[in-house]
Order: sequence, then structure tokens, then C-alpha cells
Amino acid sequence: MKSLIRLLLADVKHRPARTALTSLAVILSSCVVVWVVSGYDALMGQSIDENAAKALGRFDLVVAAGGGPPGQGIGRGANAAAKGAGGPAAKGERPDAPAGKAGGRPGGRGGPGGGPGGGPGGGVLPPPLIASLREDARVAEANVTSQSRVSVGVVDPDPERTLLRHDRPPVLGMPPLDPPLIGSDAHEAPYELEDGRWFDPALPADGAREGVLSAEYAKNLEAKVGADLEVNSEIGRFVVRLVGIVEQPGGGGRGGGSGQAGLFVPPALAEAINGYPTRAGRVNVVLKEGADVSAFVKELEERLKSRNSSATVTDLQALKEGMAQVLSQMGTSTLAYSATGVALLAALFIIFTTLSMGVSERGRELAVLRAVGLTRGQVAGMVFLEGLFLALLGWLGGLTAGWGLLRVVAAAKPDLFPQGAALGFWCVALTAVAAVGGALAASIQPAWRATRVAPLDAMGPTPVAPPSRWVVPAAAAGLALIAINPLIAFVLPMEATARAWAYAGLGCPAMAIGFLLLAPLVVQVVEKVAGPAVATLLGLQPRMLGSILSANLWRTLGATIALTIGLGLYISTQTWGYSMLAPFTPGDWAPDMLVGFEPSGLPDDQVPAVKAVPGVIPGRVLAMAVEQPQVVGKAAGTGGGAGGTIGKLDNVVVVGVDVDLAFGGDDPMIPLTYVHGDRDSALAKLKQGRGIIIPDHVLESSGLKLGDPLELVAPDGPPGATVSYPIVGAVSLPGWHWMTKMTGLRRRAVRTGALTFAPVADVRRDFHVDRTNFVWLDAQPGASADAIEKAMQAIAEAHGVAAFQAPGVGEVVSKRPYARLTATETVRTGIASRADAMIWGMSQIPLVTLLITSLAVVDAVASSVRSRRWELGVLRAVGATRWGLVRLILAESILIAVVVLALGFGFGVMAGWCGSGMSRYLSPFGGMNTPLVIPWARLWLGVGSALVLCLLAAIQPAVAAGRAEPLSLLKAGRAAA
Amino acid sequence: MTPGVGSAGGPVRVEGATKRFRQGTETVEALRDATVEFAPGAFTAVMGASGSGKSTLLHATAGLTRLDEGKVLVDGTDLSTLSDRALTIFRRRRIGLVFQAFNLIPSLTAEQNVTLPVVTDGRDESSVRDRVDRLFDRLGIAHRRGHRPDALSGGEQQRVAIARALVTDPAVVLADEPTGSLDSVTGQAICRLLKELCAETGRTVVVVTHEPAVAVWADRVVVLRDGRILTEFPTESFSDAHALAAHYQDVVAGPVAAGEAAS
Repeated sequence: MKSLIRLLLADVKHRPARTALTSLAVILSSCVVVWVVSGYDALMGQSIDENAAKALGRFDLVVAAGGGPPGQGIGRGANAAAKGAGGPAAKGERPDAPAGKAGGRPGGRGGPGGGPGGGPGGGVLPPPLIASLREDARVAEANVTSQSRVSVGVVDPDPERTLLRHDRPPVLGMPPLDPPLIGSDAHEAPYELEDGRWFDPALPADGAREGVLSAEYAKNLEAKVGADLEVNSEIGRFVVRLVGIVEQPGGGGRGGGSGQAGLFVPPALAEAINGYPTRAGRVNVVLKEGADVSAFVKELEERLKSRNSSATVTDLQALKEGMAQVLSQMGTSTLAYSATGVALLAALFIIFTTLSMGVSERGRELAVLRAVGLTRGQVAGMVFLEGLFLALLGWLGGLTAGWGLLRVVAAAKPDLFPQGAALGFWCVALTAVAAVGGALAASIQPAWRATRVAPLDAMGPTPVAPPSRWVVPAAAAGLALIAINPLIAFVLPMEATARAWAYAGLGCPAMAIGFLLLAPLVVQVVEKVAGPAVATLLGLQPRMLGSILSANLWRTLGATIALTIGLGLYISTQTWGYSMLAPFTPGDWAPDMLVGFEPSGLPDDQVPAVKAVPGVIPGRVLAMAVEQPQVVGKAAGTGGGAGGTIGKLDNVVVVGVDVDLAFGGDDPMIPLTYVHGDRDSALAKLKQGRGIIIPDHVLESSGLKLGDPLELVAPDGPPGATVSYPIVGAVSLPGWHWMTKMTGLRRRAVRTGALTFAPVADVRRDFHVDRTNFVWLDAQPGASADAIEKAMQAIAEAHGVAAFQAPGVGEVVSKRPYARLTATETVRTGIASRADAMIWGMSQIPLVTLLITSLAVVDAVASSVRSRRWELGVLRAVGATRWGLVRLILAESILIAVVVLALGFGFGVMAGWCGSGMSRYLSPFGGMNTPLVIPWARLWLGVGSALVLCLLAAIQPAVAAGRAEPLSLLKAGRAAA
Repeated sequence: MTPGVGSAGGPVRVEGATKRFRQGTETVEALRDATVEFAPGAFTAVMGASGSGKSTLLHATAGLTRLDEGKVLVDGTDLSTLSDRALTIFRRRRIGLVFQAFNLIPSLTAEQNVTLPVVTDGRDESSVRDRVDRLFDRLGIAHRRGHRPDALSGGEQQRVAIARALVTDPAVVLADEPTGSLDSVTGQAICRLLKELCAETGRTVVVVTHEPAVAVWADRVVVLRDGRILTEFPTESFSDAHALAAHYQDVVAGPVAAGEAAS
């Protein structure tokens, strides 16, 4: 060991630049892990410790109503408050019904999905429970709240600006982008007041209309105390004076385990805005001094359980647990592990490159060592020791640099790290794994090669490596391995769980190894094909580049693979992201604009008025009847994808249309691409009687076939009455999810299993839709959506029905009917911008990895120059200019870049394609066919970066070689030989 | 014998050595049933034309390559019976090698290069401190012991290599064209050194060379042709390198000698 350490230290001293470059790369890799992991640690600590307390506010515990079964508890035309408590119940539903699929555990502790926010479907707390809480001697205060969905904006004095989003009630089915409306009978603010005051909860609706807004919402709306807020509900428009702003509790995630945030108003005002009596969905409880919170909670839970209640109880402990779970679900820990994995790979290949080059450069030295008596084991030990040394240097340096970075950022932005920046155990452990694990793995092959050096090689001139006969067989094996992943993702019949395991455990590793095996052939091909072109470009003799890469194949491979990791991951992220986006982006099937008339639609005789609106193509207006019935029978609950109820066929949105106008003729308004069945037979069946067209992936994932019926139950129909709609066609309907989400097509607010089409007469009759509630239209080129919406609004106001029946509530009077226009292009743009931001966020680590691993290219080019010093000296001696040498070295770097581009593109596209293909089985939306989308315009960043980095890597070695005197090159080269 | 510089060498015997190499589709016999004994304590030169098998004979004797047939006995040990690890350790301890290209480790100093076999053997350098000092003195490079190879002349590098070959007190020193990279004056100095060391220590020294000017320093010359031992002859009767060269030419150009016919 002593001799090996001596040899190592001597070599490090002899080649300090190589050690420095490699260590620097490992330091940077470790730094990435430190940053990501420490950020995760800070987030976890911060969110759980501080935000849990914030979420409860001044209360000790919260009792929240559970959810009812999906599809129920939702009023047509009334604000269904799908995510909040206190929405109207369906006819016949008991307010405190046992938990359905989407509700919390009966009498259970609150947590994600079952916490104070209430479950989907709008559960209600029974008055006796509320009364018992108020009467309990231990309770100091029981503050009852209700929650519903509205649109909120600051009142704009400009009368022309009437079509802003906040001027319309919220879209059913959309998550609350606006602050929810919270009716509260609390006498004090639930959270700390940041400005202004709390309101008097006893204020009547016809008195002063006052409200208090949560801080973040106030910031987003740019609303200050004293401003007038415009609140739009389904029934009308209300102006509320903002009298206070309260601290906004941190989000512990959607659906539960978080505090209440929104626009707080007195209960009477909430009722007036909603148009129906408010029902309590949540009670915030303050216990008297000295009361035992845990005992109270336990007793209450037992009481609720005994009554088979779906209500949940949440105290501080339950909130913390819920937040931890949600944060974990957010994937932040996954991000930390992913960063570690990428850093591990980067460190592995950087160290591999260095060690591999070392073995190649020191071939004669290794032979001499073997000749004078080092065993194979000792020679291998030398290599492992060097790898470990580089790793430890990089790890310790990375920890130091990472810690320093955290300190600097914590000092500059203390709110990011409120508990200070520190290196946690996991941080240190993960960086050790990345650095040391990578080093050990990277040392294996170079160590093996070193042991293959024969002592006899010391006796003669440096042997020339024979042509590698293994390259082609290795490439063939590589291609076979690469083919495994697409087979798993697209071809082989397999159960979803087994497929997921096969993909992760076999397909992905096989693909990675396959590209590794393919790499040598790619190097040789690039050398042969691109070499002459690059030579011509740089004014060099093509034969000078003939074996510039393959002369030291291992060196080239190490550098190119290191760089390919970053580029490949970047391209795969982009390809996967935009391929995944495709089925969610509304396709060409969707007409230009969708107009919803709420709350009660338009009479049929007003459809001509719609057609006459300037900008609308009169012959391209499709009057529709839309409802969201429940699915029952065999098909119910089928379909969907991984995880929970998303995508399950519990309900569908049925769009009733004139089938000839919609689907017939040479230029149908809704041109559908049939995947199962065909247009002619579907049309014929639709005209004969009930029939329904559904999305292709819904048919496939549910196991249904053409001709199978969908048994549907009208939301407002008699219980148990079903209508049967046989499936007449299954079509490609990309983007239907977002179309239903953003336009109000989800009449009952909850997620839906499919967007379907049926004849309008059947839909009207079967689901009691008396009027045209939606219109799809095509607009003239250049027509203004704002102008068309304004015209539609005038029609809605002139012909809307004021009073309507809201199930479970009774008659509700709407003060102002409205028309909401959604342009399909707006949906596409909205989705694209969100996707761009998300995909960019995911692409950052790969780009950072690319940057770090470019150091491997610097090392490789420098090593190449070192090993060719004699040759370069000869070239100078026979007349090559300095600039000629520089071009030669740049040419090598360019060829390395071409290899990286080829490998990175191949790996990236394949990985992204297979990943998006697996989404059919792993996505909660289930079965979506994801076409391969290569976002060429976005790949330029990674491709360009790789090219630039390779060129930059070559600059120093090239300049150094160009500046050297010919004699020094000859001498140095001869000494090395 | 100069104390501390070494002890008597062991016998080295090659019996029926045959070594074949593949060159493309053909098989070439570099050595054919060669049998030779290198007398203990003697300085022997192995000569032959390019491709005669002399280097292969040396490589086999050093354990750097395995014979296809026959055996090599060094100091009573049959090298063919040793595993790779055992052979390496044996070579480390009992065989000293001097290369044409010096083959010093560029990152180590002269002294570190010399003590490399000792340290590799797991022994402390202090155990050979005296021997190293004496070797440096004897070889006239004491003032260069702290320098790295790139700071040494060719002759100095070869002296360091000789010191390295002697530091473990080997049974035999094998030198492959030790003067091949040196000028004639330096080369002669190295040959004198090897001769003196052989005489002083009684060590077996075998030198492969194609130069009569080197061979004339040896006690005996073994001549190979086409992989076979052609003949052996003592050098004492030759007054200088020219005379030896003339005899060598006669031997190589002549009909099959009795020695070759016998083997």
C-alpha cells in the first residue's frame, strides 16, 4: 500500500492539471447535490414547523365535513364548491353521509385530502354536531365557516373593461385560481391581521358589505385595504369593501391539511352572493385555557366514528403529518435523489475518463512496473486508489464549496433558509455516495485494463493498439439492448405494475448500457463520415483526422459519454415533456370558440342571434346541450390510470350536438379521427337512436368495445333511472381534459372520465336540458374574441332565466346571467406556457450536468495533446504552422462534439419517447396515446451548449500546443515514448 | 566482492525452450528447442541477427513471457511452475532487469526509482539504505539521487536503471540492449560497469546485444540463429571488438555449426 500511495502522490505532483480538472468536476457535481438536498431539507423543515402552526391560525383544532360520493352533492347551475365545504347537497343526500371514494376517513384525523378543506362533492357538517361543539364546556369558541367559489377582482372604474376574467363567475371544474368566498361567523380574525381590521360577523347582507382578504390573494390582486372588490358568483355581481388583510397560511398541498385562505365575509353576505343558504363545512375550535387538546381530539374522533360520520378532525400534529406527506408527494425528495443520481453518473464518467486516459498514457510505465515486480493486483490497486483519491478530494471540496454557497445565499436571502443553512446528514451521505460510489464504479474498467498490460510491453516501443474487433459486435449487442425499452413500453402485452417494474428495472438500464456499447461504433463512424467534412471546414488534410478519436478510444469514450449524460438527459426531458403535452393540447377537432350561457342557457330561438354576431361564421355555429351524468353499471369505475380515481368512468360529460353539422359533410365542425369504428357507421347509428362517441383511450383502458353501452344516470333524474347509450365510435380527442376543465363543460364541477358526443335530442330528453347551454362556433379570421364575448353577453342578459332550481337548495334567483367565451387557442396557449415553465424547470439539472462534465472534455483534449506531442513536434518540424496545430486540436474537439450530439440525441429521443409511452400505464389520466414530439426549436440550447463547451474545452490545450517550440514538443514526446 | 553491493549469482538454465508467435495467419517459431546455461557469476552476451530469437530468449529467462515448450530454471526455480503472481514476486526479488529505453518511472526521483522493487515488496526503504547508498556511489550518481528522470542524461538514467536492477540482490541481471539508446562512449562506460559489477559480486549477468563492442566485454558469447542456439564461444581469445565481430560474422554466415545441429 505504501508503494501505491507513493506512486499516486508522485503522479499527482507530476500531473497537477489533470488532478485539478477532475477534482473540480467532482466538486461541482457534489455542489449540485448539496444545493438540491439542502434546499429540500430547508423546505421540509420550514414548511412543517412553521406553516403547520400558521395553517391552524389561532385555533386549536378544526372539524371539517367529509365529501359525498362523486357525482352527487353538486347543483346544476349553482356554485358547487367542489373543493370547499358547504356546497349544496344533491337531492336526497344526507349532509353527513358516510365517506365516499373521495372523502376523508369517517371520524378520522385530518390529512391530505381529508382535512379541513373538506372533500370533493361539498360535504356539510350537521347542525347538531356544531351545536354540541358550541355547548361543550371546554370550548371557548366554535367558528363556523362555509366556502364557495367566486371570481374576485378589484373594481375597475373603466366601464369598458367588462370582460376581464374576474367579471365572470368561476369556471366549474377549474381549481380555485380566485380566492374562494369564505363565510365566517368569527368575531376575530382567524389569522394574524397584517392590515386593517376584521368585520362584524352579524352584518346583514343589505348593510355595509365588508370583507377581509388573505395576504397572497391581496398581493396578486394588488388590492389594498379600502379598495372595492368585485365579486362575481353565478347569480350576480357584488361589490365588497376590503377592510382587512390577514396572514395567509402556507399551502400544505391541495385538498386538505392546510389552512383556509380566501375572501372572508359575514355569513349573511356569503348567502346573498351565493344565492342560497350557507351550510357549514368547517368549524374552527378554540379550547379554553387548560383544556387538553389531544384528549379533546381523541374523544371527538371517537364520537364521530360512532356516528359513522365522514367529518375529520385536524390538530397541529395531524397537520404536520399531512404536510410531510404532501411534500413527499410533491416529489421534492425524488428531486433530491434524482440530482444525486445525475451527479453520481457525472462523477463516474469524469473519473472514468481521467483514469482511462491515465492507463492509456502510462502504458509503458505500467509495463515497467509489472516488469520490476508489481503484481496485477497492485497495479489495479493503483488505479482504484487514484479514483478514490480524486473522489475524496472532490467530495470534501464539494461539501466545502456547497456549504459556502449556502451560507452566501442564506445571508443574502434569509427567507429561503429561515433556520439557517446547514449541511444535513443526508446531504453529506448523498454526496459521499455520488462521489465515492461513482469513483469506485469508474475505476473498474481502467483497473482491469491496467492489469492487462503485459510486462513485456516494457521491452519495446509503445505498442500500437490493434484495430478494435469488438466494436461492431458490441454495437450489435447495444442495439439489441436498446430495443428492449420500446418493446416494454409499446409492444409487449403486460400488466401495468409488471410493465412499470420491467421498464425501470430492465428497460432503462438496458437502454443505457446499449448506448454505451454503441458509443465506440458511433465514434468510428463520426470519425469516418464527419472527419473529412470537419477537416475541409478547418482547412486541414482529411487524413490527419483519420484516427484522431479512435487512436485512443477509451479516452474519447470517457469524455463523450460524460458529456452525453447531460445532453441526453436534457433532450429526453424536452422530448418527454412535449410528447406528454401533446395529448393534453386541444387538437384540430375543437372549433375556434366555445361559449357557455349560465346559469340556465339560451332558448333555442336565440341561436340565430348568436349566429348573427359579427365575427361569427353563421353556418358554423353548433348549439349544444351539455350535461355531466353519472356512469353506472358494468362500465362504472373502469378505465383510468395509475393512482386513485382520476380518469375512472364515474361520470362523463355528454355534449349533445346536431350530428350532421358536427360530424357530417366534407367540412364537419368537429372533424374527428376514428380509431375504432368509422364516421359513416357512427353517424348512421347516431341518427337511428341513442349512441355515443367516446375518446379512444377511454375505450381501450376501460376494456369496453364498440357496441357496449354506457349506462348513464341523469343528475336530476329519479333515483335508479338509467339510460343506455351504446358506443358507436372511439376517436382521437387530444386535449379534451383541458377543454372540459377550462370552459365550464364540467357541469357538476368534479373531474370527468370522458368528453363524449351524442345526438342533441337524446341528451335534452334524457338529462332534462331544456335549453342550449353551450355553443361551439368558428370565427372569421381576425375576429375579436372580446367583441364576440361582449355580444354574447348582451344576448345572455336579454334572454337568461333568472330563477332556477338548484338541487338540494331549491329555487335560486340569478341576478345576472352571463356568457363565457373560451377560445381554443387560449386554452392551447395557456397549457403551453405552463408546460414550458415546468419543462424548463426540469431541464436545469441536465444543463448544469452538461456544464460540469465539459471538464471531462478539457481533460480528454489535454491528454490527447500530451500523448501526441512528438507527432505535433514532427508536424511543426516539417512545416505545419502554429495555427495549423490549433486547428487540428479544435477539429478533434468538434468531432467529440459531433459524437456527443449523435449519442445524446439518440439516447434523449429514445428515453423521452419510451418515458412518454409508459405514461399510458403510469399516468393517473390513463391510456393517453402520446405521439413522439421532438421539440426541435428547444433542443438548440442543449445542442448549442454541448458544441460551445467542446470548443471552449479545446482552447487552452490548443493554444499551449501552438505556442510550444517544435524542439520541446519533440523532446517531450520522445521522453513519453 | 564489494560488501553490500551484492552476493554471488545463481545458475540460470534454459532447457528445450520453444516459443511460437502468430503473425497474421502464420505461426513463427521465435525459439526452437533452445538449451543454454548461463554460468553462475559469469557475464554472458547473447548475440544474433534481428529475428534470431535473442530477445525472446531473454524475455523467457526473465519470466516476462511463457514458453510453449521447455523450461527456465533460475536459481533452482522452474519459472514455468509459478503462477503469474508468484512469478511476479520472484522476478521482483531474484531477477534484475535493465531495459534499452531505461524505463524509469517519470514521476519518481532517481532514488525512488531504485527503491521501487523494495517498497513494492512491502519492505521499508531503510532496510536497503546502505545498499542504495553504496550503489549510488559505485555508479557515480550519488549527486543525482534526488532528481527525476527528465533531469538526467541517458547515461545517468541507465545507471539508475542498473541500480534498480541490483537493489534487491537478484540472482541474475538481465539486460536487453542496455547501450542501445546511448552514445558509444557512454555505452562503453555502462559495459565496463556491468563487467565490474559482475566481477565484484560474482553475479550472473546476461546481456542481449547485436553490438560486438558490447559483447567483447562478456566472458562468453552465445549466438542464436533462426531461434536456435548456433554456438557459444569464449571471448578471451579476441583482442578487440573487431576481431570478435569478424568471428561472429563467420559463425553466423557459415554452415550449420555443430552446436546448432546438436540442438
